[in-house]
Amino acid sequence: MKQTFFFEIYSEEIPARMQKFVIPHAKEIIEPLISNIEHGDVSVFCAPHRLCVCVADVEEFTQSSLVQKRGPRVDAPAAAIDGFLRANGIARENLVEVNGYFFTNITSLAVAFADTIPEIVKSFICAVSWPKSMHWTISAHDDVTGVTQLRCSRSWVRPVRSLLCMLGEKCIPCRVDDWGIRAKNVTYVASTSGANVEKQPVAVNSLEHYLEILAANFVIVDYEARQRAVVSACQEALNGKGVELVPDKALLDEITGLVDYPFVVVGKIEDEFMHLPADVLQTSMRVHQKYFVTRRIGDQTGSIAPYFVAISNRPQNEITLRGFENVLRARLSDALFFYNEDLKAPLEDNLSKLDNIIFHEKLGSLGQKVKRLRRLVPDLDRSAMLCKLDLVSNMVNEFNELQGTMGAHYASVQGESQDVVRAIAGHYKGHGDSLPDGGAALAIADKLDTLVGFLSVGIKPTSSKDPYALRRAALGIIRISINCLQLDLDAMVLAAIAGYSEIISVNPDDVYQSVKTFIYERLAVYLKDQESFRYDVVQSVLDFAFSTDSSLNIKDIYVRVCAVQHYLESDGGDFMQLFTRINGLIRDVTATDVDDRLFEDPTEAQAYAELNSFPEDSFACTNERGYVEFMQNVSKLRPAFDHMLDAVQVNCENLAVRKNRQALLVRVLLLYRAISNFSKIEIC
Amino acid sequence: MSSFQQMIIDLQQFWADYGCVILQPYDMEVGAGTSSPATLLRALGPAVWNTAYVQPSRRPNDGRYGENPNRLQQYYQFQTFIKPAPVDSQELYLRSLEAIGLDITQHDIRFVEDDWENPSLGAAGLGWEVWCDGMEITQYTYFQQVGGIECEVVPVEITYGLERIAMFLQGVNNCFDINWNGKTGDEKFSYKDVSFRQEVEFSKYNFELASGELLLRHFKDFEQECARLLRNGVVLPAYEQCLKANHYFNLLNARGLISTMERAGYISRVRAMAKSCCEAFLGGY
Repeated sequence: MKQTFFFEIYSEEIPARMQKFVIPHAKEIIEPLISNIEHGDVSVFCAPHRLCVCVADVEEFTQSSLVQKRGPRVDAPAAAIDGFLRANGIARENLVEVNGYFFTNITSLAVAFADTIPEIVKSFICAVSWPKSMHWTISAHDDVTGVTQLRCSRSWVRPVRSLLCMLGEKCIPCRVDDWGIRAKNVTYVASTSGANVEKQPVAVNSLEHYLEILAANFVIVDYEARQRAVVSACQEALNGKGVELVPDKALLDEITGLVDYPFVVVGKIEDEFMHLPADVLQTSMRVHQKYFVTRRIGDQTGSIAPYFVAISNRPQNEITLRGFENVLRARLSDALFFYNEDLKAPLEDNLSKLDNIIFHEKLGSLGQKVKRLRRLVPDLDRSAMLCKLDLVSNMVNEFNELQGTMGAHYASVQGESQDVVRAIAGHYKGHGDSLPDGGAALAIADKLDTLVGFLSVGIKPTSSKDPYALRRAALGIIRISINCLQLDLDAMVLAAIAGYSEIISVNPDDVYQSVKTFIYERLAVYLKDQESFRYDVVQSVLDFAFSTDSSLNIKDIYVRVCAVQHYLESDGGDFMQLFTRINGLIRDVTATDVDDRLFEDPTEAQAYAELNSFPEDSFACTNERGYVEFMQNVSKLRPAFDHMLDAVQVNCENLAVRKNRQALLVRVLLLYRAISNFSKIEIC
Repeated sequence: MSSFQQMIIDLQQFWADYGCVILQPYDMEVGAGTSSPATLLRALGPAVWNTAYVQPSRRPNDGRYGENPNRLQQYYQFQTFIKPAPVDSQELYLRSLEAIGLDITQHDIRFVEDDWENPSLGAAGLGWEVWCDGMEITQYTYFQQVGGIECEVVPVEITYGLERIAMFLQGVNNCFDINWNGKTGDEKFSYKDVSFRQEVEFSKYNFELASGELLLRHFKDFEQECARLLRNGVVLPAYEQCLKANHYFNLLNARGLISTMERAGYISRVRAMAKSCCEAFLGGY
């Protein structure tokens, strides 16, 4: 008879963002654990307190299966072979020989699925890997000695309080000693609707019964269904108000994970606060309060409507509504006070305040940093001068995440040009998925100045610590260089080093090298991890960049990596085979002249002629297509050189002839070296 | 309506009944009840420990000269610390809210993920902010690490924001309007009567008058003194030096004398002190 197998791990509140994560994760884990039993659909439910795994239509017995078992070596002593036969209850003719070993086919017997459940549940628990998990302390009672001892639990996302495990209508009482619990046919629900009060145990008869209990107690355990319920509850609540939610998937996901059942509270924002910049209102509502922002239906201008929508675990009443409105009012009063204070004086009035802020004790003040930035990007002088001034504004002191945003806003209010406004807004961007929209040179200069400064005084991130976010600075430089703007980074690094000359004395070459190395190391990580380029391709191009005395050119490395990977994955076969064949013959890649009088075989002259017809102008390439064409041209040399290598022995007796042949091959290798270091490429 | 002081008395009674040691506030400038050795150092090692206490908490940067209805440079936390965390700690907490007169069936109470971290003290834990109708009223944390050292026995720390809860219970929108002693008319003392002058004067000190040069000098002094005391085998006095350094760093920060970047450097120096103290404290077991 087919039955439903399900278990629920009941814990304290699972963080919202992790509920969405765990559903596909749990599915991936459970599938292989039940691969030897015929079963129907697998579903995973997750709500703030519970993770529930259900497997429909499970057969009563696992499938019997044939397993090949390895015995002794064919040449093993007779006693060993007899022992193997006896142990498995088989005769000599049941053995087969494979690769010098005896094998036999053993049938593993079908067992009752119920008996395997405790092991499945335990394996599942061990395999779940939360993005962040914790230990708690359990008291374990030893039945034999009668002593209770404190022990550290197996980790989980939050303390686990109960386990429900059933097959059909029967409870499977598996034990999880690492949590000090034993499965029961019990789940917990809040004693009054939606209130987070004491949880009451309820006996469960079956999956259907379990789902009924939850539904009756305002728990929508299915994450997707709960999300749909959040959306429709919001829409319903806003009906007739002429406003709609500003789409916000991240917040929707979070809200879905914060409630068992969405009760909606629609609150008003008072008129006096509606003058605040939309960014401030949004930050207060979305980030700090997790309220949905609304707009007039269809309004795409970015302005927001004076309603917010909060989701609550309880039906709305006057008390909760007043509470939600009061909290927002308090936050916005703060913001309004700061905003009005900040607008009292133009940004420049704060310039001298930057001189009092230490950038770093060895690297001077923020005021000095601003002066350096102005010299680094003279074309963006006004933006550079104003870009750090919001750091001494009241608003940014309060809402740190609005740095740059407020600076741009205040600049706009005091009538600065749109270019200046955009440069200020963008100069912190570059990491994550943000990129500056204008003024990219300032964004690079700010990060480069930081990097140069810290590396000059020998402060580098360690494997676990990067308190000055230098990796992030390098990443920003990399992303902006690849996506927005190519500038002469070499010149800017040197200028940035010179910018510190009043504060620290360094050897510019040393600092230049360490900056270049640092950026290239981050570039390698970025290309492999973020852009998923092949490890060996990235190594190959970076090795090339390090070994040549080329300038610091992030975009060029990126383009080369693209070109090499795309070429090798499409039609790079000839190209790599020619390389491998020649590279194996040459130790010293130093260019020497080829003397055609020393050719002994017509294939040599033919190869030489092919090489000499290699198009000179393809050396000038700088884009992906150019590099690919260059490699295609190299690959066309293969037939001529294959013929030559088939016909003659390179390392022949005659020294002059040998050297001449090597010189010819070196010329080919140098073509390869104009693109990358192909000896790092792994041939599969 | 529960007065500010009655709320404290009720919380103390509640946790005293549970079996906590009711301590008096730690007599130094600290930013939170966590910094008190009764929490921070006692979180280490195998010993069971339950305590509850009020901790006046200094946040120099939050001063608003008494002009902001929600900001104070010194406010009051009620700290409950139970080691190991009992299985029913959430229920206990909710019952404690009822004990101070919050009808939890009428409010939206939610546990919102907030993995608390105090980088200066190398302390981190997992837990939640507890929200009541959208307002954070409590920080609820299972400690995992202190001074960079894993907790052998996992405690729970429940930190009540007393002003917030009082405003909520008394239905006032300005913390200075909180009724402190529960009396009316001439007999009434409000939060303003008790704390206003202190807010004004300390805001002036924190933001305008504190001498940056002196603070920087003393920060270094405390750092050296902490190391010297540890070399001489006394942990608690050394830890006090660490707390003083931390407070001076907070003052420097409020004075606006430290950039975001530099802040990280000071934090790591305080953490190094805290870490040494924690290691020495454990060495005493």
